[in-house]
Amino acid sequence: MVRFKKRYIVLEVELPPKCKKEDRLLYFSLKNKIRQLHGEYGEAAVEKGLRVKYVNEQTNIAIISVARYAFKLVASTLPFVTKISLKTLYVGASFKHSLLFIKKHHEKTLRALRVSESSVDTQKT
Amino acid sequence: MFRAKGFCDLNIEAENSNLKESVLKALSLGYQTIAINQNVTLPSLEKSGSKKRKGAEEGNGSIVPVPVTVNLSSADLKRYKITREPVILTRITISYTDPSSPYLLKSADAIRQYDLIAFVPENDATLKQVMTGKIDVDIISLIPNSATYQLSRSLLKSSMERDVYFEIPYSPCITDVHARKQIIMLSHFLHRTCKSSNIIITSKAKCPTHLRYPYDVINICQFLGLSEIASKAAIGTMAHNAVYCASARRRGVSKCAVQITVSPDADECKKFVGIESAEEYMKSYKTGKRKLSEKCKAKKKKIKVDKSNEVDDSGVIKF
Repeated sequence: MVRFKKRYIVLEVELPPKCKKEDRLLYFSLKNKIRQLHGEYGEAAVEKGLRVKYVNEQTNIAIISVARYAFKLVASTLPFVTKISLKTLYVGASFKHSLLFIKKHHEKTLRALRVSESSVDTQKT
Repeated sequence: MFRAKGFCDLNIEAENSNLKESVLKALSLGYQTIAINQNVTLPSLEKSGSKKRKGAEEGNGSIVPVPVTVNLSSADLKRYKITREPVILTRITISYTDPSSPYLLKSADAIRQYDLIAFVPENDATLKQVMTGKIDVDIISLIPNSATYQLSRSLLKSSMERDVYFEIPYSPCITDVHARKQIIMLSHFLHRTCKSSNIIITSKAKCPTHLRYPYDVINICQFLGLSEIASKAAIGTMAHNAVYCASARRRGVSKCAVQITVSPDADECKKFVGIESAEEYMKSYKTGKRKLSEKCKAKKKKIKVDKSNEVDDSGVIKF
């Protein structure tokens, strides 16, 4: 058997304030847009693999998984989603690697924050 | 002379809800070269009567506005975490219907203030005028709803040789369904006629939320029917070429001259005036009248090497 290959997309999400069930919101807003852009064919092609794996409100990061053959369909609809503003950060072939990327990304942003805070402190003094 | 760097977005509207913020957002998203666009529509002669025409001529200078610039302080750049040095250009988009419009010639100097000049031809006659090179054009942006343009292959070839680029805007197709259909039609039309070469993709953003991350823009390009390589080139190398060609057009042809002076105490092999005598000299060696001494040969080699280094001590070649 050949295994079912997937692509994992790491996204930066700006969720509307005070929203519950953010994973469902993301899923349905994406799916509606796919239906609008690619029609019934696109919806059916995406059906098998599309899943919201991870959403974090605090860090504004989400991971969605897509079947590899339908990756282009999803990737081309991501910029058209207007309910939530999405920004693709990384595309990986396994969940583990996308988590590794998130770790690296957080380290990078934290370092930048620290630098900016220290510069603010020096300005104050 | 300026060069575009990094990812380019050659169309951000000056009539923006918040121009400075949208420029800063574009820079923070990863774009490095940005052009601020101003729209001008030239009035056609047929509509304006004799009285109106006079009035228009009086207010001739005001047709083309002064280029808008955005001053970015280092604090602003730091706040948005922008480390790379931004390149901000000015661009004018002229839309007109009448090919014999006098305003083009009259306001040529005012138009030349801008770094990029784009034209929106609204019918076939103006399109022909734009593409045959009677006017200086950098970018042609076709109107999305008129896929009825008739483009001939020879015209397209000639316009491509002159490095004219076609533009596809992406922000109208994010919000509006109708505009999206038209832009897909436009991109397919361009793909059919010029095989996706010389295409740049721009945002045409009127508010900061319409801007997208460069790699998302590449995905949009693929959605519009460009190939993977063409879609990356559309915001990278093609846009660089467009900016480079535009600045070269403003600057004109560059020429240089080489001056060669012969010092009086030079060796025999260096003593010649002009190319003719040098050729004679070389011929004499070939026929065997004279023989090159080892010393001379060595010196000749040295001259070849030294040419690039601009050496003065030999006193022979000065650039």
